Amino acid sequence: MGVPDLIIDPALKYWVLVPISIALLVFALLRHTIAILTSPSPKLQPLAKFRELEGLKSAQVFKRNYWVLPKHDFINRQSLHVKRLTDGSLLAEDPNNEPQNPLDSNGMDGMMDMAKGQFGNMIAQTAMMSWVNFFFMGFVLMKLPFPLTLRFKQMLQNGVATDDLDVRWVSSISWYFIASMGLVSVMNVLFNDESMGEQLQQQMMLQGGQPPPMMLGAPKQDKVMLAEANDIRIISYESVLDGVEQRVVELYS
Amino acid sequence: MSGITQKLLEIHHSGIFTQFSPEETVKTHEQLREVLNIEIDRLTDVEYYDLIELGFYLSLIMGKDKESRNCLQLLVDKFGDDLSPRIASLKATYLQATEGTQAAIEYLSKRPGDELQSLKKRISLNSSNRDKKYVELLLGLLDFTPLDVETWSELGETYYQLANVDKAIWCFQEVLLIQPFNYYVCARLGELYHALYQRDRSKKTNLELSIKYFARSVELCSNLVRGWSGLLTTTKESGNDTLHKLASDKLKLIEESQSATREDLNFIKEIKSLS
Repeated sequence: MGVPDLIIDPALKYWVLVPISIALLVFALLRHTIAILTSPSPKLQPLAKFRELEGLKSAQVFKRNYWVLPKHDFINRQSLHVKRLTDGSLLAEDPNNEPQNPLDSNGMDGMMDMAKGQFGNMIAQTAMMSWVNFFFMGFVLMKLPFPLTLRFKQMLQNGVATDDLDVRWVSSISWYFIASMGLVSVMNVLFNDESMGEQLQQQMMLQGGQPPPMMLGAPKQDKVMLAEANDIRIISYESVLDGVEQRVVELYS
Repeated sequence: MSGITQKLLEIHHSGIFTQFSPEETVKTHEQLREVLNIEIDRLTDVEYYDLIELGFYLSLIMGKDKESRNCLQLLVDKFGDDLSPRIASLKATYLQATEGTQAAIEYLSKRPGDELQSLKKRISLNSSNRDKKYVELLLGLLDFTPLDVETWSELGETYYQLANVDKAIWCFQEVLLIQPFNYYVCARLGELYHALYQRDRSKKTNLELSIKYFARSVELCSNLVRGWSGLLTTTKESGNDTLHKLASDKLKLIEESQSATREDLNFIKEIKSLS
């Protein structure tokens, strides 16, 4: 036990730690509110598309649960489903059309929204970081309770020009990082509303730079339907109604 | 979340309040008011507005127009007037209760055409006369929503009332395809096949299918009075003594142990006096 290698002015606590934390919280709240206010209202699916999907689903339901039917009705339905799936009456758009270019009109809308969101987030993040950097740079703020390798020095001791200071001494920007990581749980506790934290988490995930999923490679609906029709054609019929009387007698006597 | 809130939310989601007796409605309404008074801080937004929606329906059923108007206003304030089809059907329900069916139909016909929920509500307002036109409307809706069991069973009942039993059977089979373990639908199919058999007694297959579906229903639910009594009637006609005896034993057991609703128990007495 000796004297600690650095003594930190306690005023730093009140003039750096607390302001950064509060600013971060207020900022997150603001961002959340803005996100709610600017989020686009959900749109209804176009009817034709909805009909196509539901029709396909009903064929799948038949494929899964055909065993509740008597043989006669099974065969009727089998041919009906095969006919509907193969003659294209369910399709929302002509399969011979060129696939829609995802970069125009509708496809663009969703991407624009997402890009706007990402862009907004990025600006907010940058602004916040430069704010912290501008006001609180050039001194160490605290000592982390765990050791770090030298590589972190450049990032965590940004602006502190002492070459052989232990990396555990970090500047205010790293407090900013740590606090923003833990923000989700803090928000959850403060507002007692799970959804808020989740949304924040989502925002953070987006910042990870994953490209938004694209709809380019989706298989064409008519091909999907043909495959489904083939599946239905080769179902070998069996029914839960076969021998049900016998089963009931055995079950209850 | 307390147990009572949970219960109220279940009541709301299942829609069972539409089947409540007046006493039950009043009691649920009281509970709802209490929960909204005491637990309001502990509810999330979604739960709160779900409960308000339940309050809307309950007070409308009880004839408290003003209170339901308030609930509706709360919902409109939160979710807006013209965007949500769910709000639209609430409004239509309110109009139907206060100004009559015609006003509700008029309101709904002004909604955008791609709102299936509004369309369904509009069709349901026509249900007072179940005729060919109503069937066509239902079929039109089912073309878009082939997985909607509510519409399928409504169509089935309509066909049955129009004495079109074949088609009614088709509809209930659709319901069964979507919910393969729904024993009420199994029993209903048994009844329909039996109706077919009574119309044409030469077709024994219908009687067989009727027995099979009744048997399937009691296989899924051991004390289903509807299934057992169907089995009792049909096996008597077909001469299947083992099943007939089993069914009458089971009904007796249910009657002795009182393990059914009062209506069902009365029904057992009735069926006994018949045979």
